[in-house]
Amino acid sequence: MLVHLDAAYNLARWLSRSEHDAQDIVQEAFIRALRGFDQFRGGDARTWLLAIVRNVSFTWLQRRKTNRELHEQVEEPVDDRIDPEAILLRAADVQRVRDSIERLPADLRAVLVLRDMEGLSYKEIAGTLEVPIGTVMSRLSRARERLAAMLVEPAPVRELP
Amino acid sequence: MKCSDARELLDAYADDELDLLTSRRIDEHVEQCARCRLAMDHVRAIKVVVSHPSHYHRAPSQLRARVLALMHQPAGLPRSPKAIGFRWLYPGLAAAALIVLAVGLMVAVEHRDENRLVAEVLTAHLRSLQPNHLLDVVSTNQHTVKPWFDTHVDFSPPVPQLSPQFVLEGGRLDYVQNRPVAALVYRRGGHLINLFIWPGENGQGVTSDRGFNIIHWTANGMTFWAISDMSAPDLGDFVDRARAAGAGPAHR
Repeated sequence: MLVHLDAAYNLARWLSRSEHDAQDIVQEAFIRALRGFDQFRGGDARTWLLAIVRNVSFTWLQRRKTNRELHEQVEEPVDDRIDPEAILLRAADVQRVRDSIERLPADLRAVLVLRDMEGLSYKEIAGTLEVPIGTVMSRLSRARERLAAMLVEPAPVRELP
Repeated sequence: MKCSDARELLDAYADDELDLLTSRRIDEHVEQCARCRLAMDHVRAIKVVVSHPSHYHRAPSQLRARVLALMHQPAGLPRSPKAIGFRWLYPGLAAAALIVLAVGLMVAVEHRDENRLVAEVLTAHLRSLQPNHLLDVVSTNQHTVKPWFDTHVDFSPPVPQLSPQFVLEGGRLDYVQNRPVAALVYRRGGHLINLFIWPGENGQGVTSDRGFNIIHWTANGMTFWAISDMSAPDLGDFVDRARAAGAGPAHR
């Protein structure tokens, strides 16, 4: 299970948006995993562990945040005439990309992290998040669409001190 | 395909999660539709941006140490009161848990390797069906094909003669798992068969992927993978004959 520590931490870190909290979440997840090992029904250990991380993260988020940040709200359709080059140009701005990913609702962030960072298949993501594959597809598509829109927005204005 | 249908599948297409037929329909649609093409480019651009390694958070070393301690010092585990009397049980349980997990992981990894190999063989097969990719040496004669391989790969693959049921079309050099492999091409009617051969033992199995049947086996220290769009029984017949004619233990 230790081989999945990075995967667990990466997911917790992106969901909690905090290095400190992510460590607590992962530790809690490993305790639950070790304790609940008798409930492990076989299959993929990574998916199983990540499902626990996801659940612990969401419980943690619920304690601190409003529901609005957890689950996506209906939003305006995204402009689909963005120049793909403009998206790629932002890749170099690591902080900007991070901030944009963190602004996504946690539901959408989870699929994006599991697919594009962790490389899980749709089926594995569906297993981890306990949702149908169709939901994985639509969330992933909305996550990428939103992110594209955020990345090409003019840079957020920072207030002068 | 309508734009609205295509849009719903663009992400799955870019993630390689669609079956071959649907992928092709997306290909066709995107070729003619500039807006969907742009949407596809968005998806691809975002994938590039997000998957950049700089966004991956690796576990800090102190967390690794904490988790290791958890696994090896079960006294640190918060537990329910009734479990206290069984404190001595924990190291055994944790160890058992680790062993079961490790075995599960090995099986999972092996399974993934096998899947990867199936995917690679399928890709090589599809690639060979592209114009001008099928054959490096065109000959229906095994005595022409075999010497050609002897000068192009560092092993000597058997070249079974299976006519009249399966006609040898020739051979080519291909790559599977980053190593050069021999590919023999046979035809029966409208169906092509690729028989990939390389040294090494890799078990045996029968599978199918995206409508193609695949059979693989090991003989004489060589690994054989046969793939075709013909039916499973027909491919099985091909394999039986190939094994009897030099690609199996019967002849050597």
